[in-house]
Amino acid sequence: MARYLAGRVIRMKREALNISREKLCEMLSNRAEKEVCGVQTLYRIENGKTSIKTGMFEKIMECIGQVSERNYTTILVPAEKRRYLNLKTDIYTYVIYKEFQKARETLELLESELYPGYIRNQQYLMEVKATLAYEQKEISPEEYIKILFNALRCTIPDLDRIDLAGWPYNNEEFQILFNIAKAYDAMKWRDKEEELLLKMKASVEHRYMEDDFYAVWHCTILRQLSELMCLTNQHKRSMEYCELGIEELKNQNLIDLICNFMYDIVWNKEQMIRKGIFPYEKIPEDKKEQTLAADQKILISQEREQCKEMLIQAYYLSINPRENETTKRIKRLGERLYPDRFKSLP
Amino acid sequence: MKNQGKSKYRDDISGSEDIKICKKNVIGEFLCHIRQIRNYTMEEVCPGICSVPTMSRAEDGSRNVDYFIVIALLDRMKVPENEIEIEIFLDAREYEIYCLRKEILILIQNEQYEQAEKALAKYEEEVREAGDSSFLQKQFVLYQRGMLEQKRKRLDKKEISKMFAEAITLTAPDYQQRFEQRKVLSTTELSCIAEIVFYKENSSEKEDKLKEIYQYYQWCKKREGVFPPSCRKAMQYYAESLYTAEKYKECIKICSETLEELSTTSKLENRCEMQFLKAKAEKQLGFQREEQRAAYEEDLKSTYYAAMVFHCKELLKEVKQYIEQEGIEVI
Repeated sequence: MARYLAGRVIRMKREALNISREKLCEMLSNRAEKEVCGVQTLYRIENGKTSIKTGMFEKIMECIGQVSERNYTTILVPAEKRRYLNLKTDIYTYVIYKEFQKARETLELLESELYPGYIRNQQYLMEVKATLAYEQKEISPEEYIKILFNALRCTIPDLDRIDLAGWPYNNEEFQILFNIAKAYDAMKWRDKEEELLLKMKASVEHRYMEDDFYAVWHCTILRQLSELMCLTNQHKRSMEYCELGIEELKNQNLIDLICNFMYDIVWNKEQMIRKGIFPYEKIPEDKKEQTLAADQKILISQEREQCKEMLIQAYYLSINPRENETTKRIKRLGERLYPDRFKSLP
Repeated sequence: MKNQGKSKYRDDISGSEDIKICKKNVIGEFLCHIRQIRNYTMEEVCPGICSVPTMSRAEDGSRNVDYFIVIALLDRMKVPENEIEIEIFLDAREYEIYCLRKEILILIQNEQYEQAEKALAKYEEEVREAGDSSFLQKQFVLYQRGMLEQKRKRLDKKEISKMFAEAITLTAPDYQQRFEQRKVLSTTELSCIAEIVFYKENSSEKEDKLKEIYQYYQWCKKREGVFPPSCRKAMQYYAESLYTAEKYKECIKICSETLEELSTTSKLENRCEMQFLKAKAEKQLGFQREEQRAAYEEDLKSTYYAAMVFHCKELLKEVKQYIEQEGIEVI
């Protein structure tokens, strides 16, 4: 689970709720009936220049409407029933593989062990039940989205008045937002999807969590954005997102997702070549007229060669550890664009 | 959808004492839970890291124990940091040290040796007043220095081996005994043992010791249901020693096991090295059918491209040379 930088989280929440440092200190004092924390100290805490004293973090979090413990579980069960938390992973897997009956049975089992009063349990149950109903087409996408927003309100009661781009989400909240984005996608509400993804991206880019979580979350969003840009023919933007994603994944030595980004880059470049946009724009403006058709052809074939190489790399990266959907997808594109190289692959 | 999940708890229980206590001490409760389901006593887990009363206080939350001590205790129980299923808010100092650690790991992995040296020096400066966990910080520095020098190949083997021996004795001076008696060792300590054995001169003694380490990991898996992540490098050493001893079938078996284990993570780790070793061993055994040879070539290409994309310079050179000798075509 993620490590978050406490000071940065406090600052983001405070600013998102439009509470000044002075006001927060006042709220703290009112609760304790004495001076708890000065404005200067709060400033230093938020900017990581001072450690937070024991108990102070909880008090601050209470004021900004968050559950108060310093470390808290994703869902809460009594100590001796902790093995039920593994059920959460099982349910997730069943949903992905569309084994809905098993998912429901496991969910029933888990629900009977969860403390109902704990808001994160409530949020979790709302989200999973809605997802199951949506996947089985029992509720419409609009209803699904509505329920998901309500689930978010469990832990973010001020959801409607904050700027979504400024809130420090945790793993579960991200998952919910992501599901909302995918539901928008299913309904082809492209503008809403883009708006939401860009806000999630802006939030993550505050870097309030450790680097490899940052990379994973950032790249998941970039991937979705890149696909959206492909669908709306915004090729350059898609490629920018892909290049950013690849850079991050390489830095963190994360092998997942990298072949998907490579696929998108190749797809976009080929589209642009087909439409006559690329690499035409690589030629300086004043030279465009003079550049012979033959030279342009050379440029194009060089670009295509690079694309072919990238797609081959992507193919071989995707078969780690074994062939999967992505491999098949890459192969299909490769057979279409570069049949000489790809037809011979296993 | 029917509301089938009838909770065992009444709705008015939200403010109950149980939850209040539970909420207050989640990390301690997690520590306790892991210890119980993995069947450890405090006496088994904490020697060399903290005293039993301290661990007890960490578990019941009556005292704020240093984050790095808690992590070390979980490490003893083979719970890697990234599998701790609770969110943790670190304060500035802990977070800075935590991030510095990660930075050092990445720099070493990416073979940026000069910068890694600088980062290690900075880390030592930062943890100078680390208080309770200073020996753990020292262990981290020694261990990472060992890894750095190992990759750099500047120092003598004996000197590098010494670094790992020093590192392990900070928390487990009796590690030989603990290892033989199947007592609890942390993933860091196990990694140190693997590195110390790696530098042994006598190759058959080395192979035997590596086999023992492999068996220790099998025991861990049986006991805890999962391989601790440090096993990957140790398995690599074992597989390499089997290859050197021309025991190709066993080598392939170990490589396949490790690759299966690696498929559970999205980190690259030593995936390329294991794939390459497996391919070489398969070649040595020879191919009965054309599909086997085709699969072997595909594995090699996959290794080559992964090494290329992730800039594994040393490995890439080796694989490229091998591929050229085999006459396989790549970009």
